[in-house]
Amino acid sequence: MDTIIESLGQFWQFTGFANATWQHLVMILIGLTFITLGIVKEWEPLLLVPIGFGMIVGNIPLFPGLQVSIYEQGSVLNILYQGVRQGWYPPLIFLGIGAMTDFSALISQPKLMLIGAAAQIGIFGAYVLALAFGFAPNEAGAIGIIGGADGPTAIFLSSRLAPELMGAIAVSAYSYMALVPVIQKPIMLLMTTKKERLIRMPAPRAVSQREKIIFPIVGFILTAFVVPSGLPLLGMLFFGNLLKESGVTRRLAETARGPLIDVVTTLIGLTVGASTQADVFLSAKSVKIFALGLLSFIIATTCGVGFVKLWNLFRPEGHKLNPLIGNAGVSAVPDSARVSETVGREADPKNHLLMHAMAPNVAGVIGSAVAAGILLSFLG
Amino acid sequence: MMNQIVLLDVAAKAAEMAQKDPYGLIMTLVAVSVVFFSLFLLQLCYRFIGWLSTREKKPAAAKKMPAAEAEVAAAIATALSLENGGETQAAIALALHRYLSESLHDRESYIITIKRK
Repeated sequence: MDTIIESLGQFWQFTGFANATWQHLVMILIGLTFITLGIVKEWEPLLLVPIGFGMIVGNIPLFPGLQVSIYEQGSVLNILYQGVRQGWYPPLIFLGIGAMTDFSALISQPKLMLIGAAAQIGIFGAYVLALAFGFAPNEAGAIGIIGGADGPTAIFLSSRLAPELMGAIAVSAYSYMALVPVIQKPIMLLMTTKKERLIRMPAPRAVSQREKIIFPIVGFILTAFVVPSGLPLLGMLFFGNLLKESGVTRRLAETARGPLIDVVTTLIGLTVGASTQADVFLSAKSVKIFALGLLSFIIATTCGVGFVKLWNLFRPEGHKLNPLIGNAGVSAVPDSARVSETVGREADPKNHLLMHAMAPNVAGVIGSAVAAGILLSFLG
Repeated sequence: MMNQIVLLDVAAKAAEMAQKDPYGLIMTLVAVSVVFFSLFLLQLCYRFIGWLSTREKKPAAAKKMPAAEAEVAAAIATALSLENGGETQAAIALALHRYLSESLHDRESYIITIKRK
């Protein structure tokens, strides 16, 4: 009988109940919140559900030495986590994004690319603020990239510059991406007048297939020559787009934008979530990162809308741009473009801004990859 | 091992940056300029490619108005300016008929057929 009780006692020591701390429970609760938001509110469900579940996986209280934790070398989760840690997953996601993105709106109105550049100021605004908050320059760079509103880029850069902060940075980036409509709309309304919201823009011209094929080749060569450190992201993004537009590699494009991106998104979400173990994640630094992430989104949106307003001062009457497309300079595709459309239609139900907003939106993807490359070349 | 070397390199660069640019303003200025420059360069290229493409797309007829089309335009313009009841309609109808029957071809078949009696 004693042996049985002793064995049960020993077994108890191995269970999660015996090893649980309040921090584990808090993290599990956060994970459940993410899953709820993903399923009930449908906010970025493809990301929030895997991340939320990953948070629960990563915060099951473990007896040390079981070789199952994500941070224990050789464990299954640790092997899957290498895709995040070594930065393999983000370029693969960029391949899929390239293969699913139609850049026609951008090709037909290339001038709108500059809005995508203006919104990247959010990244560097957050960098300056992070330094002021006491972060080291490499950490500040990794935190700043949250303002690019691009999850894979945030993971890619933080895995290189500040791997210990990657969990908080990734969760912050994806959370705010899911909250884009909530964050951006009030800023857009605050910064624009009713008259500005009513501005109509001419329909973009049709783009030929030849232009669509030339786009990724020229885009890649130019951006990679300027920022070679952005090669993994830019290369995969433009390669994916070439697969889509070439017309002769349909199977490859379908794989890249379908099964491949789905597999990688699942793995990246789950492992990033699992990397947020309570002892690493629940710290004052994480709180600061969340605050800075929010600020970077606000700065990015403000700069995008402000840039269009400034630009309009130099544009003749009848050729003005609707400043509501400025928010789309951040690279949350297509969520921020949808916000432009929604807010635009609230002012004038017949004014459709989606096609126009898609141009700075996809320019934002290129811009944030370029910005990541710059930060990497300075700090990595 | 490689990871540790990379992280040491990052730490060294970060320390250097902290000394050279403690407030991050130089970095911000340089980085924002590079992002703008990259996308500006890109938009210049695409504007050029777009310009070339739209130039090619214009049909040859649009570059120089052929005589038939000029006649049509003149007929319509004259008829409208005269505003002379039935003549206006007749002129427009004639002009449209001629335009549709004679000049609305973007490619000729170049095949001559002879119908035997």
